Amino acid sequence: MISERHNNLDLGTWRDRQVLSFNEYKQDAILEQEKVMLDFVSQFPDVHWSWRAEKGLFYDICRKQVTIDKQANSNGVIVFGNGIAVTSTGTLVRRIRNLVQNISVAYVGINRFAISEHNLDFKLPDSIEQSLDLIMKYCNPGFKRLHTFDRVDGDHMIFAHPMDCYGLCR
Amino acid sequence: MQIIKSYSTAGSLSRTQQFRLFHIARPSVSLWRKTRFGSAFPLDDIDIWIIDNISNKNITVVDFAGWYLQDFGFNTTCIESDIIAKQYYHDCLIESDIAEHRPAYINDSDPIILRHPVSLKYKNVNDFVHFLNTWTKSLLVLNFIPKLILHNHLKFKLIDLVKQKTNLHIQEVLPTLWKVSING
Repeated sequence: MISERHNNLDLGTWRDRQVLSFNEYKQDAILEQEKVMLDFVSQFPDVHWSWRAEKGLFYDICRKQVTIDKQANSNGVIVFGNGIAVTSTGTLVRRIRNLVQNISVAYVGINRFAISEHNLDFKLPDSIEQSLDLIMKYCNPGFKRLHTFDRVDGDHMIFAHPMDCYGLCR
Repeated sequence: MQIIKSYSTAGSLSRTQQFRLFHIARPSVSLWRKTRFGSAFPLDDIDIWIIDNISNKNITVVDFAGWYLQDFGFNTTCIESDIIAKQYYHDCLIESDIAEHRPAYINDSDPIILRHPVSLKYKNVNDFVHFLNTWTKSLLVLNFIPKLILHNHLKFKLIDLVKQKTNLHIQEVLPTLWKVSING
C-alpha cells in the first residue's frame, strides 16, 4: 500500500502510482519529461495557464511554480495525457487548433501510441518524429518540439507523460 | 528536485509495486487463481484461436503466465521474465533476456506462444526482427499490439517493414495476432 504520508493527495493517477512506488521517492520527484514541461512554462511568469490534464501530484508541484487559472482567465494552456486523448491525426489537429486559437503560449504533450490513424490530406515523412512535427506545424506553424525522448521505459511512464512534447509561443 | 529519468533505474521498486506490475502485464494470473474456487477460466478470442488451431499439444508459453492452457489440453513449458511468476507456478522457468536469447532447452519443433510480451514492448523494428529470427524454429504465435514496436505506425504497417528484413513466413491472422514460421 502507498504510505499514509501521501493520503491527503489525489493518488488516482497512473503517474502518481508509478512515482510513489519507488522506495526512494521524494515529495518533489518529477519525470524527466515533466522537467522539460516545467522549464518551458516557467519561462512565462506572467502567463495564467489553464490546465488540461490529470490533477495529481504533478499538478500540485506545477501550481507552486506557475499560475494556473480558470480557462476563461487564462492566456496559456498546458495539455497532455487525458486532456488530448485522440485516436486520429484529424481529431488531434482539430482539438489543438481549438485549444490554442485565443491564447499566446501553449505546452502540448502527445502520446504517440494513442494515435492510430492518419486521416489528414497530406503524406507523412518516414519517421514518426518528423510526422508528428509536421502535424503540429499544421496545427500552428509556431509549434516547436521541446525535446525528443528516444527511450521508453517499460509501459509505465508513457502513460504518465508523453514522449513528444511541443511548445508554442507567439 | 528529484528527476526520474528511467523507471527501471531511478530507484528500487516497492514489493507491492513489483507485484502490481506483474499482474498488470499478465491479467491471466488473477483469472487463473479464481479457478481455485470453481470459476471457469474465461477464455478470450485468442485463447480459443490457440485451442482450435494449434494441433501440437506440447507448447512453450512465454511471459504471459500461460500455464492456464494446461487446463485446456496442452502440455506447457512455461517461460517467464519475472521471478514473481514462481510464487504462482513453481515449475515455470525464469529467463531475464527473452528479447535477445532463446533458451537452448526449448524443443525446436514445439510451437511457441507469446501474448503481449513485456520484453518486446517499445523495441525498435531491428530488435523485433532479431527476436523473430532468434525464436522462430518451427511455429511462433505472437499476440501483441504492433504499434508498440517503435516505427511510424501512422504511415507504415509493421508487417510490411518486417517482411523486408527477414525471410520468415509471416501471416497476419488478426491485426494483433501473427503466425510466424520458417519459410520453405
